[in-house]
Amino acid sequence: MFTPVLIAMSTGAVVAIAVGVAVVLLIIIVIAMYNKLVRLRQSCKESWADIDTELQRRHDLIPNIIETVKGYATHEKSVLEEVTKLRNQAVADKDKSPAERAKVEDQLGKAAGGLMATFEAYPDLKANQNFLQLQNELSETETRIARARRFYNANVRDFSNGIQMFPGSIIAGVGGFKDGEFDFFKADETAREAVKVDFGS
Amino acid sequence: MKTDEDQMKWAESDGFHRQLIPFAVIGAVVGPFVVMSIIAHFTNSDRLLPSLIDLILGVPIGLVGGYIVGQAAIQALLQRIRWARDHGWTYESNGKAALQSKVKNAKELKHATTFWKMATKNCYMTRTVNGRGACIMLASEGDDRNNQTRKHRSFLVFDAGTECEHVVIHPHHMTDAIDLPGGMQPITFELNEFNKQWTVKGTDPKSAYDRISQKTIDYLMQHGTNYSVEFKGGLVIVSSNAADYRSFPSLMGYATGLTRVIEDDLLPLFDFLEREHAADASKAADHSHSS
Repeated sequence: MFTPVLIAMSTGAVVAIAVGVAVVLLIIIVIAMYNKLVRLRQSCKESWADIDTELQRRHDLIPNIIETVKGYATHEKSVLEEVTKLRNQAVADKDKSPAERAKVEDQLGKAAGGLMATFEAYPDLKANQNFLQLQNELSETETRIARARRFYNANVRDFSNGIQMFPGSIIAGVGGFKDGEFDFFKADETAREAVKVDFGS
Repeated sequence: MKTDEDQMKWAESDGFHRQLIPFAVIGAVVGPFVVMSIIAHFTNSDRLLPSLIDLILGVPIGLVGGYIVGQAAIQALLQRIRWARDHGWTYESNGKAALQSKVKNAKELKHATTFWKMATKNCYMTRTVNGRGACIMLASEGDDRNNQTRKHRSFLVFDAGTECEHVVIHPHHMTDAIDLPGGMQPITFELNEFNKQWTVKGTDPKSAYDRISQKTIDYLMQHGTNYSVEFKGGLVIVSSNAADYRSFPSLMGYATGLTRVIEDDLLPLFDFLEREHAADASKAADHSHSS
């Protein structure tokens, strides 16, 4: 039944139908790829918001920790000052790019961890429920930051692959997706080495 | 049928032999007909009822045969019960009901993708630790008459202790790209080698990333592709291609290892090999004491 219809059509009509079907398919593929890039971009934004929430939690925790331990700090004033300075810098850098924030946040994380380790040696503090709770909260926050960071970096990697690989690169060019739109959230090696906090030990 | 200690006591008493009487009686009834059909085969006879000679030969043979078959069946059952008891489990005669009552989140199995819902299951064993239920079982599916084409798998399902979005981790298969049920999406990880060997899909990539850390990836790669893991709500389903209850310890060890590599706030430790570890420690202590 289908074959006689085809035979009855002119060659030009058959070609026109074939081209039409190919164009429709192409449009569907382009739309699907464009939507995929939009979805990847959205995932990057959402996962960055997750990191931001966890970093904010750390920023909020640090003043409480300092408040709790400062009464016991006799020889570790420089530690508290360093952590406070890094925390203030991290808050000030809030609107900077992930790569820039990663440097100072990395230092702050290490400094805060070191601060807790230093004050753990104080028997009075070790028995202080508030200190123990803050220590626990900081540890949980660090874990959540690490998880959120890994997930964000994976999304940035997928986004980057999506717009670099053909034919995604063409759609990305036309659709205004740029490589480097999202930075990886990781400190470079020099930033890691730059952490020099005197813990008074 | 009674379970566990009751059953063991019963087996060690006279009741065990009394339990075999029905098997012997059935054997005695069937025996003459078997003898009759054997004789009829060689003599081309078309008798429908056994003769006296069939009865004389068939009744004692059937009686003894039924007793032996019954004893073997009950011994095999007792062996499983004993094995379960020795490894910290309870053997369940009504497995499906036990699974529903002991594992709080068993209802999630309806939506699980790695669990063989339609398969024939047996050898159910359950345990509860700190309010978390677990059930281990054997499953098989395929042609009942052909053991070679019949597929077997062991399943260990347990309460996670936390909630999780739907995440499935299984060895890579060619149809994975199109097999994405219920809003699931494929999830890839940093390690290409892992992505080639394993397929991970889930409704929330963040949940999958949290659970499948670098440590989990290393663990999955290290233990090969005989296993599958699924998280669904508050339930974890771990399965392997083991076809015998004596292989359960490897599945238990794998699940225990998994609860160790995934962080505690996401999947608290469930030590399925607690008994074995305690026995090993006790043996080591005895050894050092004697030496």
